[in-house]
Amino acid sequence: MNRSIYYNTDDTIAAEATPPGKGGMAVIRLSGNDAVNIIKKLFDRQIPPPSEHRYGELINQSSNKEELIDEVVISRYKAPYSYTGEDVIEISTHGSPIIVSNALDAIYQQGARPAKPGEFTLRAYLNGRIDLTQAEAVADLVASTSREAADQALKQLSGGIGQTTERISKNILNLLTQCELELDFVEDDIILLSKDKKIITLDDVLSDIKSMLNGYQRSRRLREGVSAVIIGHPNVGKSSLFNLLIGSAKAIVHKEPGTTRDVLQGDCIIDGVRFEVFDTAGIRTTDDEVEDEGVKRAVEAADNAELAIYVDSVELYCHSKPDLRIKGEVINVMNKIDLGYDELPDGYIPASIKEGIGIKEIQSEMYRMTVEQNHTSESTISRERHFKTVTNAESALMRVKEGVINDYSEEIVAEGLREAMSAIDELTGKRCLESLLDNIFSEFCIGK
Amino acid sequence: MNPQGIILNNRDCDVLIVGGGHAGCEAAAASARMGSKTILVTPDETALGRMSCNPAIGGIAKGHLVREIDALGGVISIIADRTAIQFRVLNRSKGFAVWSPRAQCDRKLYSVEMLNELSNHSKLYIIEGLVTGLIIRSGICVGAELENGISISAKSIVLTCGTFLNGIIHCGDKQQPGGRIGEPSVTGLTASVTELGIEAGRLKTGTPPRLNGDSIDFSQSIRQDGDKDPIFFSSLTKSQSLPHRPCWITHTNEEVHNEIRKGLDRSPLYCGRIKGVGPRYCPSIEDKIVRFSHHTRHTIFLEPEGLDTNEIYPNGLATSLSVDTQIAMLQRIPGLDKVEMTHVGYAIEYDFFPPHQLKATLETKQVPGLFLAGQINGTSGYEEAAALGLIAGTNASLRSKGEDRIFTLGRDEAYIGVLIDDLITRGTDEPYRMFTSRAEFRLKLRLDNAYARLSGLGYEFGLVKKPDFDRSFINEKKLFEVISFLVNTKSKDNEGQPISLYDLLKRPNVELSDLLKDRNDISHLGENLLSGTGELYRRVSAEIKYSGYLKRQEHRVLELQRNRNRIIPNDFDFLDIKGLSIEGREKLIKIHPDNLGQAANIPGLTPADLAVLLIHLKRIVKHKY
Repeated sequence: MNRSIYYNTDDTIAAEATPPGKGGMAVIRLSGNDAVNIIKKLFDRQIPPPSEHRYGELINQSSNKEELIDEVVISRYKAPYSYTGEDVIEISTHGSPIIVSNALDAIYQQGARPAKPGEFTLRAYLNGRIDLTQAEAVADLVASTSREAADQALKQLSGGIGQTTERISKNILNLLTQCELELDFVEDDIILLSKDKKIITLDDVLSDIKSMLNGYQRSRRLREGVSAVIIGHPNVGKSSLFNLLIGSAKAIVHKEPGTTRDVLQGDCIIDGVRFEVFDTAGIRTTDDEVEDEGVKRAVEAADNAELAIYVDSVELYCHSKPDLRIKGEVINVMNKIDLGYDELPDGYIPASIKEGIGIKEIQSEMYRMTVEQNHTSESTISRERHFKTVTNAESALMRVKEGVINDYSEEIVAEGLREAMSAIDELTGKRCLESLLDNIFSEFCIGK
Repeated sequence: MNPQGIILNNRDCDVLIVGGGHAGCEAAAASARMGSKTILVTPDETALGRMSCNPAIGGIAKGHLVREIDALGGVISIIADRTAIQFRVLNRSKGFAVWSPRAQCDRKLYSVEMLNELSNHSKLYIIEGLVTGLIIRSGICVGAELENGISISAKSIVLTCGTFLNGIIHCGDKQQPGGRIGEPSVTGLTASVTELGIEAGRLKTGTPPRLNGDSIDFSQSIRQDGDKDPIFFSSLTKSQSLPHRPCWITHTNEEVHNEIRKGLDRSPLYCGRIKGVGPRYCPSIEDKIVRFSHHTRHTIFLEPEGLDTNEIYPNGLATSLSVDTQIAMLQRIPGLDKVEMTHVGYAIEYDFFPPHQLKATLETKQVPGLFLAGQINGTSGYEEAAALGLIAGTNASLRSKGEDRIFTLGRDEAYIGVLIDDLITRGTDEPYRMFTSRAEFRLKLRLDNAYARLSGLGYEFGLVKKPDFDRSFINEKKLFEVISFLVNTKSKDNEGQPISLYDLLKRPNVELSDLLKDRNDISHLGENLLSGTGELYRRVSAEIKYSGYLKRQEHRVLELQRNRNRIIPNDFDFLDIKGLSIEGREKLIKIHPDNLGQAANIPGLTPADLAVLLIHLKRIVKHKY
């Protein structure tokens, strides 16, 4: 394991708490017993009392001369009433990477240590401020780009995934108990569940698991966004749609077919969900090597996209659809209806991108297909780690079901149930896995 | 040779074993095998290894324990094989991992053979006497005093007192002190242990009445015979030496239950006279009838007590009801209407020392040099006792030699490891019995690979003799040959697709014997493979059939081993750690686990507690190096 948590937990750590880069402001956080003493040496005014803020100048006094770093606001939190449960100082500076870097250099020179990824949260966890799933939820909260993803993270913070997993655990435990009885108490007079009843219980568990996995798709999309590829024959208006969706004229639009060669990328937000939109070359057979490569890339992008927007135009819709193996959802758009048409094929959204007709419908369909459709009212899982363990549980339970149906020996069936149980325990953090902890804490960006 | 004479001239020894039950015998044998001068003190040397309850060794998970003891050079397996009058594998319809050998043994011969076997251990001296107190110097246990005033000094002492410590026998409304029926209890010893700061508790167990077989009409019960192709406990046993005897199956009925209900008002269990906690998995018949009142019948196994006796042990009828109720109940059972009782059934309450006070070596944490094994650790069963005896005896010997090494087994290595880990980390509030479900790595801890798992370690510590170790090594080579053959030999599946025999065997409902029949290229692999019996056949089948599961659990085995290697120092202060839950901290202080693996098994510790502990342990390591 290349990264693990061999951290000293007695010293004082510091790091930028806001994302790196330019911004309106940046926050540097210090946590540990020496946090106040360190800032005393750098701040030109008195350190504010606990839970208060003070404006002043941050000054570097290291190299004999005093050097102004920035005008800052200092906020002070006293242990245990802070994020980490330790003494915490937060310094709000202007959002420039140079200022932040100078400030941190000065702070490190006074004895603080650069915080490792997730170390603030690790300390919060160590000091009993949060539990493991809460720690993960905080990570999500920080990383969330949409309000819904934030809601999702908050839900988990309040113990949301507990109910479903509890029901799953209970059912698995019941089945496992049956198997263990059959193995350990052969000579006792024990009445056991029928095969049919076992299968019914198994189907219940599997359907609970399925709904968790479906929910994962949705929450992952809320958190990470959705990839959407615009695809179609040349000159149907793909680039126009692309520009309209992302709100800038990134793609060159020209009446000449084959204008778009490479795959272009831009972002758009629909109802708080981020879509990563790709514009692609029109699909046709061509002797132009560059364009041909573009077509190949277009097909590949469409095949792997979570959402494909297939654009056709009334001029051309007699065209047969190109041969694509799209794994994700597909939206069909019929462009250029302003040119007039007789009748539209089923399942197409009529649009005139030039006239701004049908755009709203396309956007709401993008949202509906990828996020709304997967909506389940039950609380759900939101992380890759969760998804993996639940998938493991699912495949173990599929083996169990096969075993029950085909009357495999109980120790085999039981082993599958134990595997499923152990996966669910891993999900809820009932087991202390070193690697699990390492993964969780290394997933955090520095400063959180 | 008069061992007693030798001992009277020189009362010093390396290891002193107090008690000659299943734990004591195994502890003494292990210590002597390791080369330590060992004295075993028992009130009656003809009662060595006495079967106080059912006349059988093995059974589910217990059979695994016996095989593991055999793989570590122990004696219970050899004596059980030598005195068996019926061998039967339980769970035979299931997979090889849960096949559990069991043997009905001749009760009297068992003790005779045990004495013979132990007398052959050159470093072992057996003396008759009753230990009444421990000798403590500077907080260390250095010997024991006998009733007759003799004291024996030793570098390590193993107490194996079974149910004798302040034993009280209950039968109906009568109660009397006793360690077993007809044998006095031991009264002074508990006090001399608790004086040292070791806490004691109270447990209960029970045994059925014994019956005269001549007074039983067996035609009304179902005959149950042993296996035609028995599996022996010991790799040294080649054949069954004693004649075979059957068991008989009969049932209780509502009439029987009514007689029991009538006698409940004089049952010590239901009048509150018994304070000790009994085993839930082995309830008395009155308990079964009260708790499972909807059951119209319960199964009774009539088991033979031996070859030259007609005595019958009615398994399933443990009771402490009054004698007249016992007779009335028995006479309502089909075939038992004229039955004569040779011994009454009774319950016994006894002292035990809650096992969280023990290290994994079974040395007490409080008193260096004092080891505890057997029922006083809160277990039940001969096999559990013997397993504890083996570990305690081995570590007592290591300590007496001043070695730094300790002999412990992990949960991933042996049922013995699961047993001890459970006892020391979880404690027990009822007599602890081994089950296969207690083993996380059940598919790995099998009979067929016991020698592969343990013989090397046993040899390294001096428990296993060179030829026995060599044999297990040769078996490994055979296994490798067979598996290579299966991997490299191509066949066709049902659809005619080419597939190796190895992959074919992975499929459910495909058996190794099916694959090998009609092949003429396997004679070099051993004759047993063809017949579909034998250890190698089971070993190969299990390794391949379970391979997917074994592979998937590898990471959990590694995790366990990593946790076990994260040592918690003796002076580690759990009060210093911020962030532990209150309950978690209390448990950790009470149990003081040796390593993170043990800590992980403590109930009541939250995952967050373990994470906190882990991080602090990592820091210790980091600071040290």
